[in-house]
Amino acid sequence: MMVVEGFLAATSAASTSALVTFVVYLLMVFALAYFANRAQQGREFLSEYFLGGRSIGLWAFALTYGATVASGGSFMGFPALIYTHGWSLAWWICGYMACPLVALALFAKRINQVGRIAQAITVPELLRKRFSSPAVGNTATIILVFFMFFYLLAQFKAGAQIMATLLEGNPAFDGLARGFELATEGWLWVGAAEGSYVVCLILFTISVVVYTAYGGFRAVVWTDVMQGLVMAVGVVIMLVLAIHQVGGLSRATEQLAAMTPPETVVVSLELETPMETRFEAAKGDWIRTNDGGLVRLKSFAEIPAGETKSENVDALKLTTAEEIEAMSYGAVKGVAATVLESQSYAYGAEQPGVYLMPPGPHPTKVGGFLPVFLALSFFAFWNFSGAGQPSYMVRQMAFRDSVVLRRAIIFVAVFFLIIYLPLVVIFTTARVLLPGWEIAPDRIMPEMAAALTENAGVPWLAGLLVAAPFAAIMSSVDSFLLLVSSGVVRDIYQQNINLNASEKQIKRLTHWVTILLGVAGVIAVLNPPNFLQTLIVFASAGLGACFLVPMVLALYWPRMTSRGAVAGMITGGATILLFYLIGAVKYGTFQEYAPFDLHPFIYSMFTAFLAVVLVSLRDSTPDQKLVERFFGK
Amino acid sequence: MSSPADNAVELGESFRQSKREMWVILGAWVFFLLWTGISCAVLTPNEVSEANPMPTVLGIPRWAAFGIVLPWFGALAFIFWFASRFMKDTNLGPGDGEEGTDS
Repeated sequence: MMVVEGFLAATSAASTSALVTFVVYLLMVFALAYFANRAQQGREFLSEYFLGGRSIGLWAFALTYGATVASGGSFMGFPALIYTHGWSLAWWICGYMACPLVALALFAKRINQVGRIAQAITVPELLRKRFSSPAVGNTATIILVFFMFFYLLAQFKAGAQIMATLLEGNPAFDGLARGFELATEGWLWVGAAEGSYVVCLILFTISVVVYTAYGGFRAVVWTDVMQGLVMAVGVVIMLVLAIHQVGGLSRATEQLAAMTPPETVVVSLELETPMETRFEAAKGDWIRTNDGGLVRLKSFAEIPAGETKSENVDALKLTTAEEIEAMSYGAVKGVAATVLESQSYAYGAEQPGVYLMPPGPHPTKVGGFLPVFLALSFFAFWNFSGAGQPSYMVRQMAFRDSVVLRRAIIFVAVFFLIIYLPLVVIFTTARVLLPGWEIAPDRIMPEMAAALTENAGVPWLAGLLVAAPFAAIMSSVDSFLLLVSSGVVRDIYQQNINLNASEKQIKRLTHWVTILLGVAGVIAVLNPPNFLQTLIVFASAGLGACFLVPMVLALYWPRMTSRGAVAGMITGGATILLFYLIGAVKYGTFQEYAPFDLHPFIYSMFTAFLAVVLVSLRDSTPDQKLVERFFGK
Repeated sequence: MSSPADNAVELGESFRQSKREMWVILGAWVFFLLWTGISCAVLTPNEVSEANPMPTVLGIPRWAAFGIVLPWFGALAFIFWFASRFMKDTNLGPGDGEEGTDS
């Protein structure tokens, strides 16, 4: 018998006490923003607001870096993938073991040094001054704003989802969500969205926009420190609870070995006898099938009064005998499902042990989730696309001295180890403890947090655990908001439109841009795409493709020219867009095209490298004064 | 990658040290890529069944224990050495508000 029985009741929403913990956490974030705002009073606005005066110390630098890297994808999309594809995700994510080296040590010292020489506040500004070329700065700004907006969308969605899970079941919240749905019924775009999700999206956006706009970079860094600690503590607690409740890691592995992937089915519900009132089944309800199996509904279903049969409904059918036995007692009584259509996994169907090893099961890919070459390319992807993210580069411009950097590299290495390996263990055990969440895999993190804590008799702890992914998302969103607003205000407005803008004008514009970004984000993700992680990977790959190679060569190759920089950024970005476009046409969904199982990012690095080198070498040699300034004694 | 531009200007010591560190970092990255890639590919069994159970180490599938967990701790040890012994401190230049060379 599997250990899931005690979990059925525990999958309800987090308790009121958890909500209180969560609210306290948010209040602390606002308090930090308040103190950060006070700390920057009387100092130069731009440098303070966007870069913290280049005086960030060890704890702040290490944790703001770690917390920003561990975005919503790490706590929502990544757990969903682990849950869906099993232990193969350990190979998928393991590139993070070298991330502190490649994404931090490789760049940080030089970027900080060049940033100080140029007195640059933003990444585009650094590139512009390194090459003394407005064209380089403007190209970088446009690319940054474009890809970063996709990243923001994914984080907004993740933040709203976590909040919705936490607040579900609370009468006041449910009433508010229902009221919102009724009030916006029939509205274009807004009316089609789920009320609870939209209410949370608005609350989440207001929270982040307010503390980011009010406190600037220093607030972002301080809250990142707290959020980084929350993440680490939250993951460690979840790890202990998960291993304990599953009966030990060996037991979880044994049970995973017996599991086979579910089938995607279309069913029709049938009542034994007609009812006087309408019969309703909610999304997530378990229903017995006529052949003795068990399905979980992917959406709401109903049978009108006096009738015995429903319309066709999408569902998930379990295929592992132990799972069926364990979950059957929670099935809705008096109704049965008839399977009308059935679709097995393209890789892994009826194959025990498939969740324990690569390539891992996959519903549509016949080669499985992670073929060998794709795994190798992800080792490169996490390191080099991470290194190429402007949001991390900005942090590398802000630390105080090289002693801080050396210690932070070790600190971040430990942080990643504490976060990523335990997540794999936690969410492979989630497969054992909470079967059937393939219906909404992005929800597995908050559901697991609520289930573990309720089952352990400490529901208030769910607030802290759910705060961990929420913290990850907030710490990423705030950074991206700052990055985009700095791009617009510093790199577009001040550098191109109004060179003599007063501090008051800059301040006001900065706040307005941050607010407008929040509003645009809310509107764009009212009806969000399903694949959070795909969106994040797309944006990461795009930014990495555009910035990594040009930035590395800008820092280490004196012969590089401004035309080479522009060519590298455009070629890298165009390569990524092309591969996603081909993927969209070929697969009919938002997905990358990966020839030879290599992620497009790998190809983009080569094309960007070739573009930078060839164009630079065809150019005349760069101004010697510029080379002397950035590379000389 | 040297070039006429490198030769015309005498390169600073901090830049040359950064370059040395860069090559060590890239070498380490290749080493850990090969370690994880080869271990995972070689140690992953073709199939798992009741007759052929998944070999484990402390409950972790063996391919992941030797191909992921062990190299991860190895990388941690290397990073500790690199950051505390190999990487050199450098004067990064003036901070904001200090005397700089802004153009």
